[in-house]
Amino acid sequence: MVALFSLILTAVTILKHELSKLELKIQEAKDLKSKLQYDLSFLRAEWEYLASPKNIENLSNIHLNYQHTALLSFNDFLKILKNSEDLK
Amino acid sequence: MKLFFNPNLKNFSQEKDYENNQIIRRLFLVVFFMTAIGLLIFSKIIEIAMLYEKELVNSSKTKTENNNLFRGVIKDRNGKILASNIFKYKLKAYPRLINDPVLTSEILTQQIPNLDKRRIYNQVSNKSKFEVVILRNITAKKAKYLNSLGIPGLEFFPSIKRFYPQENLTSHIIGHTNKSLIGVNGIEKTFEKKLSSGEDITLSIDIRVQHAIREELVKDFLAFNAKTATAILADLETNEILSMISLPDFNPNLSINPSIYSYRNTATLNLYEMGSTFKIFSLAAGFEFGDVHLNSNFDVSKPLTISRFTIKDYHPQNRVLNTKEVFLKSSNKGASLIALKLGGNNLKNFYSKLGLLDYSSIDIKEKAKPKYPLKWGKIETANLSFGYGISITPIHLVEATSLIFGNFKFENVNLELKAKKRKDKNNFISFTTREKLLYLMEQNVLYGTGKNAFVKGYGIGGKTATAEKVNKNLGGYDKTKLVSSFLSIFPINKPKYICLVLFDEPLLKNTVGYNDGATGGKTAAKTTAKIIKRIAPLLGIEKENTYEDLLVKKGRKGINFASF
Repeated sequence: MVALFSLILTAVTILKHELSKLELKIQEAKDLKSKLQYDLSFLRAEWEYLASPKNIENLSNIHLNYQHTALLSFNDFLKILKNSEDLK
Repeated sequence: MKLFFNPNLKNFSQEKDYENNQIIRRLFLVVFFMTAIGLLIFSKIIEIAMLYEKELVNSSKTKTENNNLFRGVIKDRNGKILASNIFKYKLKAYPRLINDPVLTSEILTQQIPNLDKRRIYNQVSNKSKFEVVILRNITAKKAKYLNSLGIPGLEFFPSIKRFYPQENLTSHIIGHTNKSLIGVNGIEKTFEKKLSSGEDITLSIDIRVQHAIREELVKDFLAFNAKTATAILADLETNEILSMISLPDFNPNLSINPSIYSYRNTATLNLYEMGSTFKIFSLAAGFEFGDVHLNSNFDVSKPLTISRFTIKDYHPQNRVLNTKEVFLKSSNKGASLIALKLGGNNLKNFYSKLGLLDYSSIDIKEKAKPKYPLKWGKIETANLSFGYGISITPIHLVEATSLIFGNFKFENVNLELKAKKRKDKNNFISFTTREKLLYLMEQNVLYGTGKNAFVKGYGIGGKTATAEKVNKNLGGYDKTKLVSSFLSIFPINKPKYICLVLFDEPLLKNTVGYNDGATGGKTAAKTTAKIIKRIAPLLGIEKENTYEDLLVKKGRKGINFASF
């Protein structure tokens, strides 16, 4: 009985030690995850600033000769194609 | 065991055997109890050990969560970030650990631009102080670089800061936080609980539309030299706000000084006597409950005097007008006659149902309660029919209009994007009344006071409003100070969006010192046209082209669809 008792206690101690080692690894992984999350958050914020409508418009004005446009309906689109075909 | 449990044991006659038997019995009992106690202690140890492990796991999890406890991110309807968190560093120096203050100040001023060398030297050479702050808000990259220089006696302290990548664009909607990252304005304050627990908030705002509207509004805000300007765009099908702009605005990334005027959200806080846009409501009430029809006649040839007050028209017609003309000519006398026919109580009930007499239902903390007369006599009824005597915020006007023209019934107007909404059919007013009002608003843009809002290819309906402001010093109304606005609905054949543009005290060029002429038609209607032309493609509204528009000219190389 005493031997069994000792054996179980030893097993529990070993398991506990293993568990604490795993806990430490998990904590390290979580810390790394947090760090990466912080970095990602910063990069995302920076990206949002760079890709803000104001900056995109400025860029397109400089490089793409930006101009406002209107949406064409599909039927109008077909009419234009037809008209251009007729001209040929 | 056999001996212990043998039933014949009682029959033992010899005394010695009996004593031995007793000893064995006691021994077994002691062993039994000891084992039981041992097992109990063992089970308790296991239990405590397991619980301890569990608590450890839980505590480490909480700790990690706390480390991750970033304030929630605020996004627009397309997932664009409007408010986020970043690390900034504070550079501290410990003067007692710095042996060479001259060299330290020299290196720091070389590495950090615009740093006052004398101030740094004075700070790092002051041995009486334990620590001094050299610089705040240093980026992670810069802090890492400075740290790598290995200057003794310096230390960096990280802190989380709120960052608003869109700067001024959403300043009044988002608001800002204080140094402790607690929301003090706007969405930051309204959704403080959710945001502080790390939950993200998605708004109904579309940042592209917001930018386009703000840009056009800023241009005219400066051109009209107005005191403030407001623009709101709402979706009638969802009752969501797509854009809300209040000018002047501010950059929430800079340090906040609450006494500065521009922090006020004019769209939800400023109370205005709106003027003629109220004719939409008084006519709606007239059509519904007052036996008023499009061809009903109202004699506005004579001055309309109630008690000691005389009601005047901004564009006097001095003849009999039908309901359509009352709307198109924006006749105050005509609207008053409709309201008087309807009755004060009916008009009050209708306004109350429209939510014009209470706080707006919008989900933002900064709201104002409308001001209206407690007594609704004849003169009050007449005034209220054309938007005088009652002060409401711009969001009230949009909300009430949405209640009239929306196809669905909603409990409130939203800034937060909600996944699913119950859509009950809106039966606030009859279909025929709604159609009559839409017809009048379309006619008003084609032939009435709202002509400047016309944009070729887009069906727009709207109502202008020009209201004089109350002169607080002399009493009465001040003709030189106007509130000019334009309320529009588009596309008019299938209403989906409401747009309100309002200028507070606009000034037209060549009318220096006297604002007469800066009407809603000449100011806000023009701005609305520019806005709709710009945002229609973003909203997916197709341009209606005529046959001539679609003709491809001879001799032109290729087809440039962007030109259509």
